[in-house]
Amino acid sequence: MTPVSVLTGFLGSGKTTLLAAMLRRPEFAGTAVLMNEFGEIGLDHHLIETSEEDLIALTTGCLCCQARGDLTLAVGGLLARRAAGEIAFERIVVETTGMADPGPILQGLMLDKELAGRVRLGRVVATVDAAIGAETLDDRAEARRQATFADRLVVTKADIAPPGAAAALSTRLRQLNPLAGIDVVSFGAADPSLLAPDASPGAAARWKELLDDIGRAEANARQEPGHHHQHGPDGVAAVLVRRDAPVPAAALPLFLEALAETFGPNLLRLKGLAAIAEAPDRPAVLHGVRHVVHPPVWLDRWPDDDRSTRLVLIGENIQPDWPGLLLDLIAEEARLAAD
Amino acid sequence: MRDVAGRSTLYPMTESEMRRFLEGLLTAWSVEGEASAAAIPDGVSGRISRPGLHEIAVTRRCLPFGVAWEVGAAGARTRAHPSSGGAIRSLGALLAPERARGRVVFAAAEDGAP
Repeated sequence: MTPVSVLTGFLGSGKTTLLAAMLRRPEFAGTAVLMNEFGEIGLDHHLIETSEEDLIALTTGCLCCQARGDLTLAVGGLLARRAAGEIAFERIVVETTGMADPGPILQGLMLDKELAGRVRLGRVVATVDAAIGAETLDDRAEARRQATFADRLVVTKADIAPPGAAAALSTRLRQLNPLAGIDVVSFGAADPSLLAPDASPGAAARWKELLDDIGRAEANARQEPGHHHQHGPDGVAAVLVRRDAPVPAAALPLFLEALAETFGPNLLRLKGLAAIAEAPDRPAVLHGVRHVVHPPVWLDRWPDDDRSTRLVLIGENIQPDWPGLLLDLIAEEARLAAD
Repeated sequence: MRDVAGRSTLYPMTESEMRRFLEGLLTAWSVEGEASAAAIPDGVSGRISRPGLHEIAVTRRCLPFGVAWEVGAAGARTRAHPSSGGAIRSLGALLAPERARGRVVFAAAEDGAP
């Protein structure tokens, strides 16, 4: 399946500079770029130096405000052109507008029936300006939302930011989204593999990345003594749930349903590894964006000796101990139903 | 799950847990209110008080055949549920009927990796 990565970030945060720099790198070869224009002037379109063949500009306005079909049609169009032999690529990168909420875009990519089985969600990368990013995070909900949805955060313009600004911003971003790795870059000189990961990385590599994310979130939480969460603006919190006792398989969908029922669109990201009572040697991997969840994937074995359930939820208005309490209640109810 | 005498050995939700469970819902739905809880035979009861509005009563009992949640308020039918998810739905209908709800949708299966 073709990976589709999403590059997001607030207006002026350096998305296009990053993309333009990557497009010049040989490692980025084989990447089709989809971008959308904001307003009547397709400024971003003109800034990027690339072959028109490999670039489609979405001209109908803001991705997040249009029907999701606009993006999915564009992705489908690229795939069709590749199938017809008109173009060749291994991966797709979608650049959102600076005002976009990535949530609907990610959901569209995950849910579209035409794309099912043909593309998979790659990385979500968000750029944040080292010089004024903290101020933007204070003032703009869109910027906070973009950072929250990211798998990787790129702190840009470190070269022009005041001393210490990039480090302070990184600390703040870790609190906002402890799941995401953070890269600090100057002049858009980021590692191309950020947006152009191996198109066929193999299951083990992808599991490792997810486990790394969870480990990073736990490590970040440990830096907050006595807490397993961090609060950010808008009441956004990252909540960690760790349980040693395996969970009945039937409890898992009930738990996810109850989370969706309770938090609705305020549940932004969910990643985790679950110990299942009926299959103690095979953990289940969970990965969700809002209420869209990938079907649990069963690993062949545990990656290490730690066989506990580890879930990380990022969302708004989540009391830190509530998801764990809910899981305990539902697990017990499922055990009784199976008895 | 029962012991040899047929008594329930279900997870005994405590008063503190019931209070935190209800408080978590109030937070999630941005509803102003106060939650309290008390032990009852076979379980725990909770109450949500809201300024100028009817009190909402919740019970969770561990019965020989399973868990029974009940959610009710003055002027509304008391609803019974065998699971926490059902209780959350009923509480949501009473506390925040206009809230944005979600329903889990499974994306297309991938090739065995997240």
